[in-house]
Amino acid sequence: MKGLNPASLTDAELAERFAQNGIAQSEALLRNSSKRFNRIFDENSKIIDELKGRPGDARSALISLYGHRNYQVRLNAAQATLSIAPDQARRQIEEIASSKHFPQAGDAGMCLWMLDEGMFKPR
Amino acid sequence: MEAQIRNYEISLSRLSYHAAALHVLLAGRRIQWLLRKANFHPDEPRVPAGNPDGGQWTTIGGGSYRLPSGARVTRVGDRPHLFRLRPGMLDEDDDLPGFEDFPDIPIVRPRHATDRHSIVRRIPMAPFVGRPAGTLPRKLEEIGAPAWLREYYPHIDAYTQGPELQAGARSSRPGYDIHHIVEKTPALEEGFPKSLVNGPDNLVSIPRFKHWEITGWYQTKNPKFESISPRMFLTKGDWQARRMIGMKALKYYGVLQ
Repeated sequence: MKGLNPASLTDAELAERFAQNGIAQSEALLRNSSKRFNRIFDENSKIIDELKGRPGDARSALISLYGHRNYQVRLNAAQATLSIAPDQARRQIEEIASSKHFPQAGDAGMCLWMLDEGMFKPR
Repeated sequence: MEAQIRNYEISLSRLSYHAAALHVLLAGRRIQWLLRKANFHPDEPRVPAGNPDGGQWTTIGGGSYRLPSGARVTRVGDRPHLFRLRPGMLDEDDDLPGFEDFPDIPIVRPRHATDRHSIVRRIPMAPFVGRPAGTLPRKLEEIGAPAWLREYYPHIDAYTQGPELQAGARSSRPGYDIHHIVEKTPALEEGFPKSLVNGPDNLVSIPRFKHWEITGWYQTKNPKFESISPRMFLTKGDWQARRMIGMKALKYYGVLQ
């Protein structure tokens, strides 16, 4: 994770890195390793910021991850694209919440509740 | 002369004592060596003696391991020390995609708890399990899953129970933890009274793995909480706000309906 320079990577490469990070976060949760999860979260935030700053908002590159078989990757991608593809992203989050695949289903449920209550305003 | 003989007798007696002690020590060392050679793990769960399904020793991959009676060891490529859960083993209707992602389970109990937990916590989530509430441990026995999983059967069983049962009890049971709806340590640090934090209205008995999931959620950074953890976000929150979030977490993590 060290030394990632998002500006040097293509959209597709950043999306791939984002997916690998989601898989690693999924494993970190199973190992009760919140420190590792949070380190990866910071890197994913950099990736999102980089994509968002590119012409036309390149976060759309993450939409391809909606079909990823890892639930954490799907959840991360859907939450990161809520502001650019609200309906599609929400459907993904609804699917994850109803999948009962925990812990991702739990966080997805919290996400829907916070969206509906106006407590979470995606940017 | 008599005194000299007496001294010799005392010396002989001491020598005999030391020789006996040395003998016992060497016997102990030999037992330790034999146990190590046999790959014996004293903290590994065992089938009680006299049980018709009692464990047996077998040889896999050059070492001796204890397997449940009737265990089928599935060769995983060139790694015969692994057990593979496959579709059809736990549920007849398990042709759902995703089972290929399930990790192989080591026959021998992993030394580190985090390694064990990352395997065990996936079992009730496996897409081919079919969520057979309350029956999963029995099924794992039937298919000859590695014996070390037995210490986690109460946790797996608790996890697959319905939400009503999960929230029903307030006392500690195997596989369950007492969970604070409003997180205990941050609340005490913020000066909320102990009587409130540890009061019966703030406690619920939930499956241990659910307890870990919710605690993990509180500890990890989240885009919905300004990219800090819910625990940090709620630091200045009042009791009602904390309780609302705590109750929603129980709901969406499948503990309460």
